[in-house]
Order: sequence, then C-alpha cells, then structure tokens
Amino acid sequence: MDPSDEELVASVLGGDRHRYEVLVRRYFRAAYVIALAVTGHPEDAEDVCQDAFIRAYTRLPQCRAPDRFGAWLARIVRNRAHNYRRYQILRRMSSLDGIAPRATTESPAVRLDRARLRNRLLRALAKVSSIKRQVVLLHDLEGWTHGAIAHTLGISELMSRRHLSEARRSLRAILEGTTFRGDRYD
Amino acid sequence: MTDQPLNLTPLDPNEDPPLEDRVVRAIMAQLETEAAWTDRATLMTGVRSLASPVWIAAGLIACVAGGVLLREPSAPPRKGPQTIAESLGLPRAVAAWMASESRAPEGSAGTGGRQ
Repeated sequence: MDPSDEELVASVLGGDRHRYEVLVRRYFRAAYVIALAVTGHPEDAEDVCQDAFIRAYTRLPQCRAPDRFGAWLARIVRNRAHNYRRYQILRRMSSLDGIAPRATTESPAVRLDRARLRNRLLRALAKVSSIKRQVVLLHDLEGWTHGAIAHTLGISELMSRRHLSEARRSLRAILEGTTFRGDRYD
Repeated sequence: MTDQPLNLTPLDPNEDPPLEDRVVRAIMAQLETEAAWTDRATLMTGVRSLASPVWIAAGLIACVAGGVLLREPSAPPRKGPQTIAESLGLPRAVAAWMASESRAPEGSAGTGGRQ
C-alpha cells in the first residue's frame, strides 16, 4: 500500500528527504499541467515545476494540512507560474510561436509530429483565459473533479463548471474544422 | 455535443517519458545541494556559538581556576603556633619585627627615665 501524503510529509520533515521524491512523482503531472496552463510554454512549465517543488520542500514545515499536500502544492505552482510568466513577458515579449521540444530519444519525425500537435493545442489554449486553461487542463487532461479544481484555484464549483464549458466551446471554435484522429488533429 | 471532454493528450507530460525523470532528478539534485549547504551552515553556527562572549569568559575563568588549583605551593605550611601577624598573612620579617616591638617595653625600661 502506498504511503499517504501525510506519512510522506512527516517522513520528510523527520529528516528523510529522499521520501520527497515519492511526493514529487505523485504530483508531477498535476503540477506540470497547472504550470503549462499558466505559462503556455512546455519548457517554462518544466522550470516552474522544478522551482515550485523546491519551494514546497523548503516551506514544508508551513504545510498545515499534510493530507492535502496536493492542493497546497498546486497553489505554490500557480503562484510561481504567474510570477514566472510576468517575468518572461517582460524579458522576451514573445508569443507561443517557435516552441521546440527538448531533445529526446525519439526519432525526429515522431518528435516533429508531437511538437506540431502540441503547438496547435497550445496556440488554441493561448486564446482562452488563464483560469479557463487551468480548469480545462486539470479536468480533461488530469481528470480532477470540480470540487478539487475549485478548492485549488479558489473559485466555486459552479464557476469551475462554467469555465470548463466555456473553455471547451472556445477551444472547439478555434480548432474548428480539425478533428482528432488517433494521434493528430487534421 | 459541445460539452464533451477535449482530447488534450498531446499536452500530456507522459507523452515525453524522459520529462518526468529529468525534472525529478533535477529537483532531488538541487535538494541535495541545498541540504549540504544547510548542514554546513548548521555546523558553522554551532562553532560560532562557542565563540560567544559568555563562552569566552567561562573559558578564561576555567583556565585561571585550573592554573591556581594546579600550581605547586611555594612553601610548605608551617607547623606550630603562629603569631597574630602571621595569621593575618603578613611577611615573616614584618611579623618578626612586630613581635620584637611588642616585647620592647620590657627591654627598654631604663630609657623611660629620661624626662
């Protein structure tokens, strides 16, 4: 049986910092998706994730409800991502164009295909508000409930549902004429 | 129907398998580095605390007290009766002089006649 968040937090606070890796792996996807929703850049999301997990570690004694580590971490990720985004906007004033995936072991063709699909979605997501991006990514990609999204983003469940519905409608309109067939939008 | 979930799998971080490992490794490496710095800082703080004025004063007192306790006595304690002057810690020569002075009135009775 996997240890609970509370047990892991207690272990880390007790000096076993290697147990933090379990928490990192458990919440990496959610943290990445939130960071991606806010920054709009996969590479920035990666940097934000790293920064947020380090910050969460240093502030772990301040985590008042270790059993809700995920929600606490998500708030840190959001704050870091917003700060990062503001900094990046000032620094490079760039758009979502020109995103290139980092080097992997995949073939160039597969990598290019994935980058094309990702860019298409990211461009569409860039046209909806940050809060809608977060809701739609957390719900449709991460499978979070509206209750969890509402708690993490500090909105009501009703607003979460509304944002999701509007985000889907907007994204479908933007991607109009494209269909997802197996592994690509055409 | 427009309210069906969107297929956002191209954005799934699991689509890039090395991504998670790369980020997790980077995080844990940074934590190790920071932990090493913290341990070193804690050690230095402990050493610095020993150099506080209170500890310095306590060390000096301990040194002085130890030196006094270990010092060899300069002269063996005298046995036998001591005069009041010796009991007060006055040098032996002074004590002897005072003793002779206290005996003087008997020896110089003849001089007292000079008026």
